[in-house]
Amino acid sequence: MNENRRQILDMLASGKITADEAERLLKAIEREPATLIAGPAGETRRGDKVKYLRVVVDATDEKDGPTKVNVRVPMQLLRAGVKLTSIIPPRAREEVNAALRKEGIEVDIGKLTPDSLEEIVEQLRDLQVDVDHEHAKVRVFCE
Amino acid sequence: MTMLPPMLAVVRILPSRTGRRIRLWVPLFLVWLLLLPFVLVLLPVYFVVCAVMDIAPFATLGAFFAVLGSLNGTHVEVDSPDAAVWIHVY
Repeated sequence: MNENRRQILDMLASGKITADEAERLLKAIEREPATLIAGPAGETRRGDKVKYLRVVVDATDEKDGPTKVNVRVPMQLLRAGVKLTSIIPPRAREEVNAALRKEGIEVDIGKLTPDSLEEIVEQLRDLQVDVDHEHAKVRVFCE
Repeated sequence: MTMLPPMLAVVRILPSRTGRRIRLWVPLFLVWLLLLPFVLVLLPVYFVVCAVMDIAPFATLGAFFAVLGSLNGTHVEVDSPDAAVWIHVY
């Protein structure tokens, strides 16, 4: 679904469609039901698993000219990174938890499991950050 | 997605000044093979450090392998006036 939205925004940016047409297309996409796959015990989940985190930068410098950056990082890296919390010694982990609690964040990093991270990654499915500056456009999204 | 470390990296560089395209196929599997003896020599040191720092050695090793294995599919493209760089990790 993010790919469809991206294509619509690209067409709008390149002037192939108007803003009204883009809005109609985006609404049409939102009305479409998500692809569902039946799992065990009748549980359903969306079929399109988030695979990559994309960062696209389109910058224009008056002196140097245009620069484009396109980075694609597998989401599996994020999941694997959670396992690196095993590097943190228990004493340091307690200090980190205390520092987080002091800031009002009630999270125990020792209890951060791959399953809980899956829920976070699922919520990242619709993450889309668009920064539109005079000399640069930055897009961050998951696909 | 496979959890094996990446085996190959393709790097393409196109400097705008010279215009000569450079294409490199980096056999990462050879890099891992070359690093293996050093890793084996340093393993006892690693276990000692883990014992001193109170770190789970096998879990940490597994985490590093998982991070390496998840690099497959990484793609970086930079297109600037000076040069164009394209890197893909398989």
